[in-house]
Amino acid sequence: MGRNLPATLLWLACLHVVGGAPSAWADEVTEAISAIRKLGGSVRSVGKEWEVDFHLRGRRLTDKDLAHVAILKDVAWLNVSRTRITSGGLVHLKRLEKLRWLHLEMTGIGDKGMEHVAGLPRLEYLNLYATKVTDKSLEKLASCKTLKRLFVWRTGVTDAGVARLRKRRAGIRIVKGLDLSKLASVFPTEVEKPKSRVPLKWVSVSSRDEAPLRSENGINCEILFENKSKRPVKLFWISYGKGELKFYARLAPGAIRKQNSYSKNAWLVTDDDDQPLGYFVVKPDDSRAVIPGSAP
Amino acid sequence: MTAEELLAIQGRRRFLRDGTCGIGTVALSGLLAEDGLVAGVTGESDTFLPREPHHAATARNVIFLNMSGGPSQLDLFDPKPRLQQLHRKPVPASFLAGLNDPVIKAGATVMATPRTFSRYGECGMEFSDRLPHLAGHADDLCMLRGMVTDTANHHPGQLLLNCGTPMFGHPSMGAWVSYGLGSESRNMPAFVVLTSYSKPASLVGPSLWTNGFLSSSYRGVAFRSKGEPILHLENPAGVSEMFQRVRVDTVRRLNALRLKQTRDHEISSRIASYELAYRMQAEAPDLLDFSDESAATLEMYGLNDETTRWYGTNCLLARRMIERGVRFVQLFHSDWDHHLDLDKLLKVDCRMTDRPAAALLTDLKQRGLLDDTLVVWGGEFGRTPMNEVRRGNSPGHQGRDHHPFGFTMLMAGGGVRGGQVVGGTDELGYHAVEDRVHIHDLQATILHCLGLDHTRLTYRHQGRDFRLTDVGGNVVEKVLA
Repeated sequence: MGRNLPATLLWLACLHVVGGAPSAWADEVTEAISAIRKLGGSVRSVGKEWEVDFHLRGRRLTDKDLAHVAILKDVAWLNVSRTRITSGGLVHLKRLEKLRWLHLEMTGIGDKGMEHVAGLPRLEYLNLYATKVTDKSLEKLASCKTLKRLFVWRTGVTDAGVARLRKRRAGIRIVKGLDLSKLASVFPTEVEKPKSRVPLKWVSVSSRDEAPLRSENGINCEILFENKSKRPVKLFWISYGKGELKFYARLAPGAIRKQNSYSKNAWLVTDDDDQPLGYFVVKPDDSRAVIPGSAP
Repeated sequence: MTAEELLAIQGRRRFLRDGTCGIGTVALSGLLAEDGLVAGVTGESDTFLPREPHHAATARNVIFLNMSGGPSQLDLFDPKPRLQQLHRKPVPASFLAGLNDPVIKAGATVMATPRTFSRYGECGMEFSDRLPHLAGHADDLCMLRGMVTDTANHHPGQLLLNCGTPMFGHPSMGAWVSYGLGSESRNMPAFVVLTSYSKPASLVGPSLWTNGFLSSSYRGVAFRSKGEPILHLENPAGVSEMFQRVRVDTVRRLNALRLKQTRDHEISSRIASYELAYRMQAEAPDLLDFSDESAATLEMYGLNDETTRWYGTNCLLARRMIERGVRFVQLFHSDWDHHLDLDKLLKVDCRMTDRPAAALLTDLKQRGLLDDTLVVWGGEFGRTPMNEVRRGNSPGHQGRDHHPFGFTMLMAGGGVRGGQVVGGTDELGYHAVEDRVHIHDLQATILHCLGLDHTRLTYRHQGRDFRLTDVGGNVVEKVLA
């Protein structure tokens, strides 16, 4: 299992005693880690570097608190999104020469102080979405040679600004968000074609005995029932075997219903008082079953 | 473990007293010496402290779009013109040589796909017309066409995909990841499960997100799929915020006392659950409140459309969860088990999920989250190149049977090189022949992206070390950026 933070501190303590490392530095780092944790941030050591997050529990982080992060120096990842930092805090980042991944999204930062970010020698990922940055920031960032991915959705950055940066630094993947209205037009909504259906024969009856005794087994198909009579009707499936009536639906005048069924099945239609009116026997294809207007 | 602790665990009287759950507790006693939990009975469990990965991670979070039931790769991802030529003919004998799988009915005839395939993106990745939105992300996606699994039935297949073994009782991937990395959020669970359209017949259920023999703190938390996703977020009438806090604290102290007596690891899990539930009362309403999302975002996820609303809500929740520190979100959508009427039913599932899944990728991408979030799309196996004729299905209504020998999955985001197809099947789509990726290889790769070495992420249980990938698994280097 990986070491957790206390283990990391222990490691630092060992370094302190055995390795003869500058003890003042180790103390300073230990203190900084405690301070970051106290603010709700999390610190993980990965190899010889640190990963620091404030975006989950440390959202009250302010500009001056970033000084604790600066003490750690070898920070490869920093996430301060959704915290209270502003442009004024960015100055603390300039000591973080190993920083590769920086989340600044959804904070109060703007163009001021962006030179400290642009000056980071190893920065690869920079997230500025939903901040106040404009094309001015992009101009500064053009000097950041290592930058590969830049996110500027919902900012003051313009298409022209993005185009200028692209021209100077083709290697940066810039995400300015997507025009959703364009997306929708690429995929027109599918229009469902009306199915061709064979008609089922309506057989008028006045008692259950006149309808088939039971349903026979067949192949799967779909029936579209349509009640063209002037009163509500009930739909019963005549079961296999004993030929029991199983209630499926009540159709109001003019109502339609899609019904899964099998060929050679029989469906009995009654009025509201369960008095049989007629039946259908299903054909081996998708079909239409019209309960006629003259029936009742 | 100290002698005192050993006594506390193995005391005969205690064993008899707790006899009703005795065996379980004895099994759990093995957990206690680990990670110093027993020593630090402070009431707050440290099972969720963020832990150091084995190597630098390329992904912080995983969203696993689990398409349960076995989506048909031949009608979605893997075009095979040869199927068209052999339509309704028997499968050439060469493909069946040496096969001994009871589920594959060798007598069935070849079935061509009714769908048309097109190339998408700069990479020219092929998709069928059933997934037009997802296809729009071709350049972000890595398509694994040479997936293989060991089993051709749903339950063992899903268990293998989620827990690394077809047997019950082993920890799921999300549980392993929570165990390996802890949780970055104190207010949300590390591992959350969302389901949609699920039919119990072909979905194993909670065993797919179980903690198995790991501490139950690592179990996936399933949100309700209908109605309110989480019940009882509000305190009951008459219970003030302070009263609730005092109550939770009192229960915690009592539990801590009991933990001291019994050294039962499960009590510390209980303490952690109470604490998490209390904290979720504060965080979850914000998670579930979509009023801060723009109308365009809601539209993009398909929340205004009856067909896509269910899956769209889950996809949007998934994004909001990873923003709040949930490490592993798993969305189960079933049923993709299209034994009959495949073309018609595939359309239903595709229409429900295609647009929301694509919206999730778009949204993650524009927020810069796709770079540290790994998205996986796929089910436990694929479907046969042959048709399946079941009792009662007529021409035009055929489906395809379960197929473990070659199928397709998709990956995107954190550490994955998009715009490429890895692996392939033979001309019939029967066997994976090129860059075969076993389920264990997929799991090893997912863990690798999260900074974990699958051979080192182990847990000692019943006298041996267990791991997600059992004794297999190789990281698929070609997938990685």
